[in-house]
Amino acid sequence: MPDTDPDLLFGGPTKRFFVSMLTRDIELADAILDLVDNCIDGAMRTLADSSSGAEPFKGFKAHLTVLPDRFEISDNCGGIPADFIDEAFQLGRPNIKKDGDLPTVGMYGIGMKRAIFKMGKSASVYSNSKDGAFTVHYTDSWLDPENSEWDLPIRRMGTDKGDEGVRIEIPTLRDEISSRFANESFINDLKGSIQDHFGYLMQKGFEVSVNGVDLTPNTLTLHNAAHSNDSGIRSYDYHGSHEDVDIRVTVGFFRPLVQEVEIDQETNAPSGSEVAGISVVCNDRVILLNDRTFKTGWGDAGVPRYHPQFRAIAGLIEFNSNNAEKLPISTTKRDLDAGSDVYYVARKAVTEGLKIFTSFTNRFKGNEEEANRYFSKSARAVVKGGISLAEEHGIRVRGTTARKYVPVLPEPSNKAVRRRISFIKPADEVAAVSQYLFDDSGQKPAIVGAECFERLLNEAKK
Amino acid sequence: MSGSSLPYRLRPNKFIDRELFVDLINHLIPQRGASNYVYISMGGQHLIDHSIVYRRTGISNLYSFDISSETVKRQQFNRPLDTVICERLESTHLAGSLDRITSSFHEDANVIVWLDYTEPGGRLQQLQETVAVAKRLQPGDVLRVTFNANAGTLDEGGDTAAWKGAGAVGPGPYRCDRLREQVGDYLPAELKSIGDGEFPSALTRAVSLALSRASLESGSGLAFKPVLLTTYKDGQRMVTATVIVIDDEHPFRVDSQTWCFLPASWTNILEITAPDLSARERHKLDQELSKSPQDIHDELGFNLDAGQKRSIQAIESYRKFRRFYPSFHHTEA
Repeated sequence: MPDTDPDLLFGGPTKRFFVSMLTRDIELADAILDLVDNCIDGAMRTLADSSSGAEPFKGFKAHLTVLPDRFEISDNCGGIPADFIDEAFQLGRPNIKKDGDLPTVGMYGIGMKRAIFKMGKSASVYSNSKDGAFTVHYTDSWLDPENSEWDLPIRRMGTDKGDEGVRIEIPTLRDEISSRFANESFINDLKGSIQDHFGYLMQKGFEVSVNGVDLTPNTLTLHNAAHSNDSGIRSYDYHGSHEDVDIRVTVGFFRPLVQEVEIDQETNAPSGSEVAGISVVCNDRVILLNDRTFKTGWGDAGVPRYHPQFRAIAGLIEFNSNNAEKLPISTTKRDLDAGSDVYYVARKAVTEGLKIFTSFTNRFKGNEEEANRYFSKSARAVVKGGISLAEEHGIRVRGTTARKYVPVLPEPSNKAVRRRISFIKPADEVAAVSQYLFDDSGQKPAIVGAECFERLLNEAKK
Repeated sequence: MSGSSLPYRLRPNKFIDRELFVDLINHLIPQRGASNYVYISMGGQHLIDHSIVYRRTGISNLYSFDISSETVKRQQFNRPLDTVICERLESTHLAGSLDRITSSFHEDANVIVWLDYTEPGGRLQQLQETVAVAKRLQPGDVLRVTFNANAGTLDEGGDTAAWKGAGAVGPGPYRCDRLREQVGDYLPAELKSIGDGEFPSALTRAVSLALSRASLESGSGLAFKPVLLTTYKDGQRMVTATVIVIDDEHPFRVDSQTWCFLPASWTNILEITAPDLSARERHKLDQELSKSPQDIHDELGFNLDAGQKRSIQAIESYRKFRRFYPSFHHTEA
């Protein structure tokens, strides 16, 4: 630390800031997802212009070993090219345009280092690329927060004939990390996060395994009847662009409408893994999953706030660009920059779509069985790559080159305005009325209430 | 709900399941002594579990809860001891009440909690309640949870139209999708299909994940060891997991000769199938147990269940659970 000039203060960072403080800003699972992101960026560099077909990533793999005594991630995604090495080990990337016209998302050059600092007491990074192989060791003394040494020794080894890729080994884990890796629930959640966040890349052929288990992609599918002029269960679909970013928005039903009993259960025990909601995908990576807040249009522009009644509605916003700077992504790579213009364009479309489907559930409220008969005439289609209603059957959005498809959904046969009646009564009393009406004290409260109403309605009509 | 061909009132499989549990308690409690345990469960209107636990293990610190105040009144009447506490309580509030319940008997006592969920609806809530209770446990405590494992509750009773209508590739993936919709992250991420007969193990894996989550969220890294995993079908198929919280001072140490039901893994579930035997048939089997099941079957000259294979399985099952087998007789009281 320079202290020779009394008129100058040291304004640089300390080792402690990077190895102890910066690591607190990210969840452990997110830090590991950053490493998988790097594998994918490597695959994109290797593919460069040759990516084509439905499975351009076929053959590219990342293997993770997540055990209480060690962590390892290895890939065959091309390794770290010679002109990337310096920046790969610097803390922060000075040139964010290094990838030129490739749809990578690693902009800030912090992911790999932050993950190593968060997990390890020591680590090594081995890379083999067409330019040659090398190993960099992070020793326990280098990772000591009190150590002000920044230089990292690199051992260059010429070209290795094996797979071109990167292997990060962390042979000694921090104690708290070791106990997390021993926890089955943590490992299961990690697998689920990888399947969710990289599902669309895995759909394109990229393979990921965790502790020897091959993971399968989680991707959104929506109910769609074949296109015709008749009404049916189909998705809202939008396709446009803003500056260098291609934008797709698709909203629809991923399952039949929820019945009242399910709504009651959902209200009692909200699920953390609810599939309903809007997901945002940037260059095939999911950066926002199943959002049900204002951020994706719920409770705005005439769309009601999310309620379990809307549990069948889901959608996908896709952004694709070779210019990562233009994508609405925050520094963590897994958070949305909801204030960007490109996102506003997509959000406008998603609110339009949500309004159509929330209105449908309102029209069929209390009559879900009739609505669900239409679902049997539809099939589930994978949204990404499987639905192109906007291009094929859509109309142009005024003032733009974008196209959108607005579905004509079925109407209830009885169009009389419907009203919900709800009231709370002691369980013992509900059981007593159930016994009286059905000779069975265990009927569901909604059925007991409806029967009471039906009987009185018949009386009133006499 | 029918008990299929078995006499519903007797429910011999449930009986054996409970006998196994009580036997397990007897293996666990000698070190600390019965007075240092509190038994907590939904006792039902007759408090049968509490009576059996008291009679067979000597645990007199007994607590029962139920959502219905009418049932609680009846429990009060049926208490095996005046000191049994019966309260109106919803299972969702049990976790928050554990300290109060324990301290009303003995603050430093270990607890034995049985969450007996019979309803197929609300599996997510049941798992969440399990986590909430589990993360408040201490080393030496015992937790037992029972879930409805009737596959018909996932696949509309095996209706082919259900999975085809949902666009699934088969009944197994359909059941898996349905269960994931219900319980979400409590299902293993890599599980994609629940085949015929695999629903109980899918649920025990969910319990395993729930307890890992409880361990993570307990702040003290609780270690849960499964010590008894059972499934049976008297009417609806049920699955039960019993775990103990272990640490260096509270290891699971039982005689493997007398306790041979320790599961090798979370999917190693003991199937309880008690054949419906007359007293004379039981007597015959008791006499011939040194012989092979095939020989016994041949000697009987008739099937104890539908077909020879199932009959031999029934003899094997009887041999395994003989010590816990129910013996019901009509009596005039």
